[in-house]
Amino acid sequence: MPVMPVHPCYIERIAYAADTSAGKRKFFDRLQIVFDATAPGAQAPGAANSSAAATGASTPPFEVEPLRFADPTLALHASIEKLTNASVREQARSVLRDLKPIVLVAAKNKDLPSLRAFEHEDGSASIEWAFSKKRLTFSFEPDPRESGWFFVSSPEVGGVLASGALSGMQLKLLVDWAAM
Amino acid sequence: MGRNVGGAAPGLPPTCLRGLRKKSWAENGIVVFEAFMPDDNTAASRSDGGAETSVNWEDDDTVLPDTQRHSNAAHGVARVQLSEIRRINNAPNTRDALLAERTAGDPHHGNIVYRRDLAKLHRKMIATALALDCTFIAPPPGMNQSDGGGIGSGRPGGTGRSGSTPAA
Repeated sequence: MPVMPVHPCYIERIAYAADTSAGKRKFFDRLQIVFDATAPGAQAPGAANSSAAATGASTPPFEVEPLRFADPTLALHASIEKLTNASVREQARSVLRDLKPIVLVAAKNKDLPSLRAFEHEDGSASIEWAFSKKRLTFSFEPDPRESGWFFVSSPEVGGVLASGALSGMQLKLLVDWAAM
Repeated sequence: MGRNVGGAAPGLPPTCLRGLRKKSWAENGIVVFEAFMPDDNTAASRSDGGAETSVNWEDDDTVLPDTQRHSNAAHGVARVQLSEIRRINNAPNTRDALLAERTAGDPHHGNIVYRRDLAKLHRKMIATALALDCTFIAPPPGMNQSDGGGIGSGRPGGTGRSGSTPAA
């Protein structure tokens, strides 16, 4: 089966085209999009003279594999699931759930470094977003009351030292601080 | 415990050196906060209850190569500006959080001391600020890069805090 790598931003467009063009149907199992040459009005691109068009046989489907470089949170889920302490793991899951969509929006128009999760020997863990002159960290302790976020930046870009609890934190603001 | 001189004290050079004894403390030249986390075991022997991060004060050109030769610097050395310690001590939510001191009886060795009552989150934030602003100096060619040893002092041994591992 031929495979066509596609940037994630085109997936929606492909799905839309597949949904609205006559003779096409879509399957979202592994984002596989199959052209059905037997459907009424179907016309494969450049297939007018092909044997498939002549015989009405189905054109081989192609599989869409989105490239994954655009999501800075991509590795986080697997890393978090490996965290040993259940309380720490759940806190990290919760933050990732809220953080991911905000980071994806920020990453649409800008290359951003990947976020990474670390497990420490005392059972705590952290999600760190490291820029050359800024770092945003979410720190998870076995006792959630000790958990929180902090943001630091070099003097050249403001010299900020800020921190707070996980509850009530303004994630959008934190992401803007880090990514702007 | 040495002579406490505070973050803005006279008698200290503009920079100090922190040995990186664990590979995980610096990845691709980026130093992580764990390299600057203090050793809680040192608090028991201090009257102020503070916790120490061991450093060598860069008094002259011999201190860097001396530090690099030590096994505690197997994965490089981080150079920290005294001005960064001052800056942290002047920030509203970390005011006077750190002491910079020399150790009595050791010409170059000293500590960055974290105040006793700091919240864990603030200790990590301060360690991150030090890590962010430091300069990474790679180990010289041929340097042994195996894990082990203590903190990057000019002295043997040390009491380094354990590092972290990427969860991935």
